[in-house]
Parts: sequence; C-alpha cells; structure tokens
Amino acid sequence: MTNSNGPSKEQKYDRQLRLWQAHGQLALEDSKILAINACATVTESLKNLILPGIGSFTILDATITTPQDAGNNFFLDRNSLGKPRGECAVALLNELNPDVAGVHVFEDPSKIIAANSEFFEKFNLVIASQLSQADVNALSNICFSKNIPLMIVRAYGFIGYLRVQTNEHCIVESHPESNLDLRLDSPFKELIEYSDSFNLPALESMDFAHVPYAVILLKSLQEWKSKLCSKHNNALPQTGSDRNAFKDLVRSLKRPGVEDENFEEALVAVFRACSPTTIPLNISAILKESKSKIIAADTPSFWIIARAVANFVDETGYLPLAGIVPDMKADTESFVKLQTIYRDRAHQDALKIHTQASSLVSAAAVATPPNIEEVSRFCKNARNLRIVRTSSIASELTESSNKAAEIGRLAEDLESNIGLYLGLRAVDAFYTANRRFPGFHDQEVESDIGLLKKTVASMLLKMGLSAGLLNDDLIHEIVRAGASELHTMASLMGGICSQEAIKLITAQYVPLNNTFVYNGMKSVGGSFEF
Amino acid sequence: MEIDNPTSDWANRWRHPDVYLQRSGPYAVEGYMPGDELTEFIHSDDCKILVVGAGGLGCELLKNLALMGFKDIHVIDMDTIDVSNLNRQFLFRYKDVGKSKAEVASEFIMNRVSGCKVTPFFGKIQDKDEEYYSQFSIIICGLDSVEARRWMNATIIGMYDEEDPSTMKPIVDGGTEGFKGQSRVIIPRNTACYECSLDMQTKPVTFPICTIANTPRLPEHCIQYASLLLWPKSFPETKIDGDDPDHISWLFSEATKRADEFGIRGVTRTLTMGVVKNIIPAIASTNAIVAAATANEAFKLATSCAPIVNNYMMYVGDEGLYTYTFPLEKKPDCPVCGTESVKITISGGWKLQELIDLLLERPGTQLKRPSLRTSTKSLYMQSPKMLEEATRPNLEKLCSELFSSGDTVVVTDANLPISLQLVITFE
Repeated sequence: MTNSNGPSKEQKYDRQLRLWQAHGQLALEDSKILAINACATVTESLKNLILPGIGSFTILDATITTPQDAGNNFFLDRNSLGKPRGECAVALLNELNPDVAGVHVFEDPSKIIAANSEFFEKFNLVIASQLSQADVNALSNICFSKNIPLMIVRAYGFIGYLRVQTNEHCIVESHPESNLDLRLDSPFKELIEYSDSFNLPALESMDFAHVPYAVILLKSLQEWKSKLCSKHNNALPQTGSDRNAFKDLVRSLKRPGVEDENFEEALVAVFRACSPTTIPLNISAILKESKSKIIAADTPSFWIIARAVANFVDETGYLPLAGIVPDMKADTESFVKLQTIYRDRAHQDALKIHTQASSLVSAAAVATPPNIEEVSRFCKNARNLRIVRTSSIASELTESSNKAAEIGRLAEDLESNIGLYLGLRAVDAFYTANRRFPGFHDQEVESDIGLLKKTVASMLLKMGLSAGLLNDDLIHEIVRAGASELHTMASLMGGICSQEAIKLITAQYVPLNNTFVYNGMKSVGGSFEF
Repeated sequence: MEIDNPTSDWANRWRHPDVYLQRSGPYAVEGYMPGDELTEFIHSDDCKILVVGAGGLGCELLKNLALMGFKDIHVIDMDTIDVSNLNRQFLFRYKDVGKSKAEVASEFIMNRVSGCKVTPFFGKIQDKDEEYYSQFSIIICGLDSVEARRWMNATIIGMYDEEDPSTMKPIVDGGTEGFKGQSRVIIPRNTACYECSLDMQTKPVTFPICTIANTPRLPEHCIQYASLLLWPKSFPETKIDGDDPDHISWLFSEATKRADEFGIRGVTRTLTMGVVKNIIPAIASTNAIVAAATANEAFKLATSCAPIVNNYMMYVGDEGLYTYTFPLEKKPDCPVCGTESVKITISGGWKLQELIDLLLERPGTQLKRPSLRTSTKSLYMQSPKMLEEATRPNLEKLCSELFSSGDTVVVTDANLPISLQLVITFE
C-alpha cells in the first residue's frame, strides 16, 4: 500500500490496526460522516476520526465565525473571523490526514432537517451539536426512520453529554476479555482420541510435566463420569463439594517429585471445565430472532449467518466451535497438535455454516453473500455476539413518556449525574422560551437563576416528577456556565464521541447504550439507558 | 477588535473560560476570587506549565492548555517523530518524521494559537535539575513509561519543603492503553503519589527462557528466540533497534524459520514488531479523552474555579463506556512520600542476592539497580565501580551474617531518586 507521497497505511495506522485489524480499518475507510455545526466539540470529534482514516466527512454549518468561536476551537483561528465557520474548519481539518477528504455545506441545519430529509441518506453516521431541542427531535426521527446512527454531543460549561441513537447495531467482534470454548465437558471424537493418546503412567517425568492441562482435565472428567457415574448420575461436578472431590481426583493424578505447573493450571481451570457447554441466553435470543427474519436481497450478512448458525445448532445442539486454545504449559508437539485439532474442527463447523448460508442466500438473490472469512469470524465469536438497540431520542424527549419515572428514580441518587442531565434539558427549555441561554450575559446571571428555577420546576412537573429534584446550587452552577464551551470539555466529549463513533463504524467492541453524562467539576462520569 | 497585532487577543476571544473566571459559583473552591486578576494570571508567565512528553497525550495537552488561555507552556520530550505517530499525534505531518517532537509541537501550537509561547526542550527529563522544575506552577505528565513517571514523581515530591509552600508542585498525570486510560492528580505528601500505586501497574508478560529455547508454543516464543538468543550470537556488537526495518526483517525471518520448524502458526511482521518493541496500541480518541480530563484538572488547579478530582479517574471504553473516580489511598510506607519504613520478613538463611531479587520483583518496589546499606556499612553498592567490586562478594553471603534481625537497611536505586527504609526481620 506504499504510495509515492506518503507512508504505507500499515505503517501509519500500525497502532490502531492492532485494535481493529485490516477489516476494521476498511470499514472506517468506507465511512461517510456528517457533522452538524463546527463548534469545538464537533471539530474535536472529527479530528479523532480523520486521524485514524475515515472515508470522508461533511460539515453542515451556516454560521460566520465569531470571536468566541475562534477562541476555543483548534480548527479555527484569527483568520477565520468573519468567514464561514464550516469552511474554515474543513480547511484546517483537511490538513490532518491526506487520505481523508472533507467538504462543507453552507446551509442552515434547521432548514435541512425541516425540509430535506433525503440529504442525510448519503451518510452512514451523523454527529451533531448545538441544535435546538426541536431540531434534535426532528433529526432523531429522520435518522431513526432511515436507519442512520446518530450521536448528539455537547459540552456545556463543565457538563459533558453524549447520546447515541441506533436502531440496530450488530456486533460480531465484541472483543471480550476471554473467549474460552474448549468443550472439555462434551469432547468431540478427535479430542477424545487425542486425550487417549496420552498414557500418563507410562510417560517420562519430563513429558509428564508437559501434559497440557486440557488433557489432564479430560482424563479426570472421564474418570469422574465412568467411575462415579451411578453416584453422580453422569453429571459434571457442579456443586461445591463435587468440585472439591473432583479437584482431589485431579490432584491424585499428579506424580510426586515432578514439576506440576500443568496441574496447577488444570486446577485453576476446573471451574470453567465443569460448567457445561451451553448456549448463552442472549445468543439463543439472537438465533431465535434470525429465524423470524425473511431473507431478502438487502438482509445484512449478520442475520444470514445467524440463521445458518441457528440451523447448525438445531442439528448439532452446539454453537460452532471457536477453535482457539489458550496458552498452556505443554511441549511443542502436544500443544501444536491440540491447536490443530481445535482449529480443524472449527474450520469444519464454519464450512458447514457457510454452505448453509450460501443456500439461504441463493434462494433470496442476495447481491454479496457472506464469504467464508466472514463466516469463520462469526463462528469464532458466536458466543460473544452483541446487538445494541437504543431507544430514539425523540421518544426520550416526550415529557409524558414512561422514561420520566425511570429518570425520577435515578435522580434520587444525588451523587448520580442525572441532575446534570435534567439541568441540560431545562437549559434547552429555557432557550426555547427565551431565545437565549441562562446566564449568557453577565448582568442577567442573578435574574436567570430565578428564571431557570421556574423552568426546572415546570419541566419536572410535566414529567410527573417532584419540582424540588434539582438542588439550587446545581441550578446556580448551570446559570454560571452561561453556555460556555470550555475547550477541555469540548475535547473530552469530542474524544468520547469519536470513540463511540469508531465502535459504531467498525462494528467492533460494544458502543454506549445510550447516554453518557460527565461532571467536569468532580470529574465523575455516568452512563444511563433512556 | 485589534486584529492588527498578531500576538494580542481579540475581544471575546477568551469568553469560554472567562465565564468561569469572572463568576463565582456554589461549587467553586472556598475562597475563590474571580475577576480580571485571575484571567491575567492565567495568561501571564507567573503561571508557567510544564508538559512532560510531546507524544499522543502531549500534543493534546499542549492544544488544550493553549486554548484554555495558558500562554507560557514548556514541553520536554527526548523522542523524534515516527511514521506510526501520525495516527494520533496531530501536530505532526509526514514531512516532520525524524524531527524533535517537542520542537515541532511547540512551533505548531505557536503558529495556530497566537500569543501562546511554547518552549521546547529536546532531551531527557533527567537532564534537567530541581532549579528547572521549580519554575513551574503545575507539572503535567503524558508519558508512556513507568520509569519516567517514577523519576518525575520522586523528583517533584522530593523538591517539596513543607516550610516553603512555593515548593509544592501538583502533578497531573495521564496514561492510555488501547481503549483504556486514566487521569489523576498528585498533590505532594497530600494525596497518593505515583509510587504509592506502583503495584496497580500490570506487569508485562515475560516468557521463561527455557520455554523459548526448548519448548516454544506461541509465535511470541519464536520471536523472542530470534531476538533474545539468536541476535546476540549473530551480532554481538549491535543492539536491536526496533525502528530499523532491517533489524525487524532479520528477526521476522529468523522467527518464521523457527516457527516453521516447530509447526507454529501466527508469526507476522506486525507481531514481530509488537513483541520486539513492546508496542501498546494507541488511538487518537483515547488520547483525547485522557488528555482533556488531565488538562481540565490543570485548569481547575490553576484557578480554583471548581474542585479537582479526588484523585484518580479511570476510563474503560471497550465495552460500553465506563468511568470510575475514586480516592487512591496514600501508602504510609511509600518510599517516595511516606514516613514509615517498609517492613519485610525473610529467612535469615537468604543470601543477599536473594533479598535483592525480591526487591526487583516485589510489586510495591520494582527496583532496577538497588544499592543496600545499613547505618554502619555498605552491603552492596551498584556504583562507583570500585565500591561495586568491593561489595560484590557480599551477594553470596547470608543476610544473617551481614546484619541482625530488626535492622534498618537503606535501599537506593541508581535509576530512581528514591530511598527506601527497609526494616528486615528474620523468620
């Protein structure tokens, strides 16, 4: 990928490719992002997306750079004063990465939202800040109906806010801390043969010390099941006392005087080995749902492969094998052989599922059927699939919605950031009523405290909550903030917004569902699901 | 608007921070004095900030501080710009590869944020003395190594003289790894310091040398075979340079041969580089989050407009979004900020070398090159050379021959400005 005027992408992106690999990078490079309003919070978000190499971005902004705009935004400077804010920001943002092209559209976001919803269809992610509550509401409806993920991000004084909205976000690679799938409780044929090939008593001490713990546990379980079958009903040792008895059985296989690191590893792994291989509830639900979908030309790969996996599970009773062996004390040959057994078996499972998937799509004329690479990745992560579906922002903002009771319950915890969340909603209500933010002008701070208190009380009442939920000090601080956008808070929320955007675009790792509020005074964050 | 003079501020330029600096509020620190004087203080060279490190965090920190109104910022970094920095260190371009990070970063900030003066130092933190560090109001660390953090922490805390409040320099420290990071404030002898929390560091994975030499299982074992065993034999005069593509190519090819021989899969050039250079994944977004939280604390520390974090915030972003803020406890026996001695119990039958090995390994100490002495004699000294030679025979002696149970042994480290009082009891 080397080109004459710059470094190769492998070199430039090395530190991030280690997190999301080449296919994650390709997804990033395919993305088209719309950013609404080039305030510091938004340009900071964009910065962190341009650097890792998104495909392209568009800034929608129809304002002229003001003195305070140029004061807190790294992508505006004194030369930007009096010129279109979006245009100036795009010029400086474009310097960050020659692989990313940005453009700006000098149109009023409110008008586009109101009159031109097709405009948004070109994008696969929308990031917005500094929109009125009515615009957020309308944009939320547009994006929800068009299936475009939306992020509303904000830095208001020392308060940070991010809301993610996505109808359905399917994750194959959630990157869990561990992905263990050894099937020791229900070994397949090749695994039994492998285990049987070890004749423990006949091994030399050196070889004995290098028997992989998987084999030690397989043999112990075999003995447990056969010898104690009548007593234990062929079950796995799952109760505390059974497990202790089983551990004693494992220990009884040790050979005195021989290094026993492999046995120590086996004892640590007992708990997991004794848990039956089952299908996690959330995975069953996904598979069940896949059966209710009609596969059509535009069905995402995720649901096609999920359906194929569901059929596989119906047939075999198990999910496809992950095919990964964790590192364990062993000699080279035994370990490589063990790896090969798991890998081969996982490959066979994936081939079967790929065949299934291919026959499913052939009937539906899907343009790009899932390839084997995609299927293998799905199988490898089949125990860790995740689906994130958030509520719509519009539904949250409906004051009579059932979210209100939940918010009221959360607000009882004075330490939680829910007060800040309510404060921000009150600020927007204040703006709608007064066409200015509370405390924007120095001389109105005192009077705005009283006005905002009234706004808060009436908002809370409409939500069916107690009018005294927000304390006076907090209201005072919110007026003090005077709609200032501190650069540190803009940068913090821009960082958080871009992080979640990357997860949404690459479909790797698990994004926020659905609200994050940061208290920059106490430096305490809180996540909420509205 | 005076936009003719490029160094002067334009009206309303600082409206965002000024809102807080001109107004008090119920959450401001007690005794907070908002007003023009405070604004002027932040802009003046009476409020000098040091940024240690001009990498992923450093670039962000410089930008954040400059846009919050700090105008006299200094930055130290010994590194030069590498291509792999460009995915996050946004003050650098491809044309800057090979140049000093501190110098390029400073120039960029001064060009973009008019009126802000950034003074670079292209060199090591250890090149500077207490006189240099004492000119700053706040020290902000954006470092990637435990060693550098320990040195900085011990130096700044060592400078604090409780009789002279002007010697008290708060440290704000940030760190990241992949989708995770943390930000914290250290108030010397008041909050936990970096050394107090040394045992929170996850130790890097190391493989036993016999596995590497005899029974490799993982691609990493094959790579370490090439780098730890083959390289020194083939090129005894040359140290491996992880940034030299020829070195990496040689190691990659040898590791591949080794892997093929044993039927091990997964040796790639990327992995080879990762293992040899101990690469930690790094992305723009995590750096931005941590640096912003860190600079935010610096702003609050400098102005008192709002309270500071108490005292440690961690961020985890790989599964959902999780932050946790908590007060990290001071350790009374911390070798840097504590007042109590560390008590350990060993067997009197231990050789001195075994005691030293313990100090190297112990999560709370993790010394590199410890020297040990009692109140009356030197037990083992790393330097000077003559003293090292004279004390070396003691390594093989039993501890019980060298000192008595309950004695205090003073441990110093050639690489760290710390001194540890160790009370050793024999079992």
